[in-house]
Amino acid sequence: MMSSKKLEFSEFKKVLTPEAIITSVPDLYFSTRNTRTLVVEPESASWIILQAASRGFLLRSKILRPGTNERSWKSLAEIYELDQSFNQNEIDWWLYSLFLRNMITLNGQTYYQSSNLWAVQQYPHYFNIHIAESCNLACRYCRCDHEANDRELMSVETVKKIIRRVLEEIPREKVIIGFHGGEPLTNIDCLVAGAKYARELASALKKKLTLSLQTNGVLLTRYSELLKELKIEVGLSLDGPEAIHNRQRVFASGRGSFGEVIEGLRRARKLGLNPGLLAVISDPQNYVEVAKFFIENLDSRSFRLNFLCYEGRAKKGFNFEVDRAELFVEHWLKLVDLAIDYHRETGYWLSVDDLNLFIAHLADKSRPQMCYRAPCGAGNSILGFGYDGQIYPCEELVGKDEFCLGTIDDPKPLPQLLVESEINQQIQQQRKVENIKKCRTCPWRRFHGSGCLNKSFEFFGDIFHEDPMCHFYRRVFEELMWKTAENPDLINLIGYYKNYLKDPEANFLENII
Amino acid sequence: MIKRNGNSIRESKKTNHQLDKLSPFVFRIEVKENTGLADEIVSRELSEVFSLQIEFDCFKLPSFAEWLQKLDDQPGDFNLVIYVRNLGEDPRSALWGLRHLKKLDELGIIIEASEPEEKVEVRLDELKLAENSSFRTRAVVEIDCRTEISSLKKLLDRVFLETSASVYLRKKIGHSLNRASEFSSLIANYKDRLLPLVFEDCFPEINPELWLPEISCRGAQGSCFISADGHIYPCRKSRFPEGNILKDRLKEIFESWGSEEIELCLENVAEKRKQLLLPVAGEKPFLIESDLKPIPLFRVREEKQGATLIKGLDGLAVTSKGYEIIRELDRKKTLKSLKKKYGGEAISFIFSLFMSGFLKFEK
Ligand code: SF4
Ligand code: SF4
Repeated sequence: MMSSKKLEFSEFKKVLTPEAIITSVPDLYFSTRNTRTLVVEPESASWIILQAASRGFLLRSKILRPGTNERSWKSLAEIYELDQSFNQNEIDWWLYSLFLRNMITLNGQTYYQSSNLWAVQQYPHYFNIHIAESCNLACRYCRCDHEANDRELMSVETVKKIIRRVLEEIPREKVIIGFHGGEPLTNIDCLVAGAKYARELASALKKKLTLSLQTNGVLLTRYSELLKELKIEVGLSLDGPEAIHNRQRVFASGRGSFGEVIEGLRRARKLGLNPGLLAVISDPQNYVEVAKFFIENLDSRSFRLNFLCYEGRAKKGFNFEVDRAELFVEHWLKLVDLAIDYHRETGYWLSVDDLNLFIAHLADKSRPQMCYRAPCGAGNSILGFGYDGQIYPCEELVGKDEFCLGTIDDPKPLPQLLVESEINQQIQQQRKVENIKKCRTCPWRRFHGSGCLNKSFEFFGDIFHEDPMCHFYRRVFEELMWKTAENPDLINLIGYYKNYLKDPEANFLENII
Repeated sequence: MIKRNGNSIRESKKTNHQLDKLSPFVFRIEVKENTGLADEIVSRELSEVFSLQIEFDCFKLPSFAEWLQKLDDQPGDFNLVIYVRNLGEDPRSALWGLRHLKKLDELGIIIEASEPEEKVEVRLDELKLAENSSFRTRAVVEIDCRTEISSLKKLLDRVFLETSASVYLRKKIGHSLNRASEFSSLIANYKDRLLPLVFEDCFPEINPELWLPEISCRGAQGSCFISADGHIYPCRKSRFPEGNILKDRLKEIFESWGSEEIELCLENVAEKRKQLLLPVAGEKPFLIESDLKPIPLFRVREEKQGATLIKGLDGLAVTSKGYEIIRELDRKKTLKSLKKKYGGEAISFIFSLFMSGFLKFEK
């Protein structure tokens, strides 16, 4: 019954004959606060909030039954008979709302066929090339826990080979090539040669190419002009105000890099480059301070805040208490309040990654972000390349032997390599929510998608575990549902993800009955 | 319009493709220090297990953690549910270790409702710590004949307010429930608010509608209990062991599974549960469009005469004829084609699987 156009209430009512059979669906999740109950249907990532009247009726009629796999079953006529004080139209609306969310079946059918949701891409579109493994900073949480030596730089020949093979062999029209590291600006010859070659080849092959670069900003003052010329989109790592940034992002001497980075940002902005800001949050108490710094001091309304992960050097120097996720929840939620206040005061909505994405997941079924589905994008949406031309399923896995898929010198075409690689097949076929114990029955499994494969590997030593910050996701998805019920305008926090909405009229008000 | 009546409910609860007897796949095991349940014995019998609930008194490091790690490394796709009465001296380290278990599904913290407030407080703190450490948690609330309804209410309110754990209610072994009617109205109130409250084992003292639908002990239909000395019982509350895992093979025990106690339990729990939950039979299968495709949601354990279909704590034993149909459910075949090959009765069978939440339909 799923179609590209949403089923209208009037259409639904036509199918609602007195004999129509309504059954509840097993495995619903219920969470009650005062007079309201949140109901989540995990398989289709649907949710609704019941108020006292609808809750009482649906419970009494046994249309919804918590805690049991068995279903109740009733014809519509019996449902109407149950309590004459409700008008039929109201009951129909409740049934319609539940049906649209796969919470009930009508004559055995559900609205969404959940096995058709969330198709995974066949071939990657994003190619992340580590042109330098070495770095001019020594951040305290770097994912590399060794001192990269200066020779860990990609040769011009290798970068060209990667770019040629990617553009020629991967059957995709739109391609993103990202230069990463280490610090990619420490290998400027390779960057320039690679960027120019990629542009020429893409235009010869009529492909749409985006070039991007993630930098620590130390050399941004020197190279901004060049980056502008090469039309490279720049992401800048800046951890917030000076005191916070300098505690984490330091030179080998221990001196903080804030001065250089801010100077680089100024220069870039002056030339019309507008680097996207990315901060790593190691202490959750800093969420709001960092966000305010970006908004007030750097005049930015769109930025990304990642929390620090259990990897590399961070494993030693930071707090990874077993219950750390809860503190992150608490302060991350303050960020949401900040966004609401900011809108009230200025009329503008902030776009904070991943807050915007989470809102998108609440509003819609599409899962545009490769890290929030299972299997994740590793090997199907993204590939990573080491400085030495080794190929990995994801940027985050570059340099980890367990995940090496081969080398760029292998004559086998890349699509064939991906299909034949046992490692890649294992990732694609086995890292699914159904195969991860914790996620298999999790109410949030289709909102969160088990999280990052690499983070599972770093924390648990294999790829068959949930995201180590699981508690964070479980909590924030639920909290956002309750918050949007209070304040349906939060749909505006969706930011640029609105381009991916299948239902552009998504309205959180409809999620309360 | 289809009307409910007692007879048709009974008729509908089973088709010719279903069997009555179901050998356990959910095992509850009690582990004490120096337990007789050596690793080999547990692992020798693991092929029978789909869900293993292990109960520790006080979590001892490192011995329990090592024992669990070995169990977790065993092949097989069973779920672990771990209960502890006390996380021990170093709860954070205990939790750090438990988090690394691949098979762990849920962690239950046992809270005795009659304990003094300070002790209950410690348990609640452990529960919150476990939840904040990314465990899916259960508050296993144990009541005994001394439990005051007011203190039980206070405890349950706090669990619901301060955590998102589900509550599993059970009685302390050898204890019965006092003040059944006050207890019933308390439970009914939580149920009306759709709060996650489940009964771990049966409460015959109160209205079955309150506890039967969500009971997690399947009353000798699918679950069993193994005490620390290896005795196997239908459930925690049984008095007579059916055998001992240290001496007997599980298969043999289950073959002769059928003492009076079990029969009684089947009648009281399994049968009543079906009556309460399953709807009327009749013409309903024909209301379903026949181009729907049945999508199985269960796992299968092959048996001598047929198979057991398992979903979570629910199991369904099917005959070899039923199993033949089950094997046809490849996500592509439609009800129409199945009906053509196996007749209308197969459709009734599939419909009863649908009603028990064992499969869904897609177009
Ligand atoms: S990682 Fe946690 S929140 Fe995410 S899907 Fe798995 S169990 Fe659910
Ligand atoms: S491995 Fe992690 S970072 Fe890479 S695509 Fe998967 S989820 Fe994203």
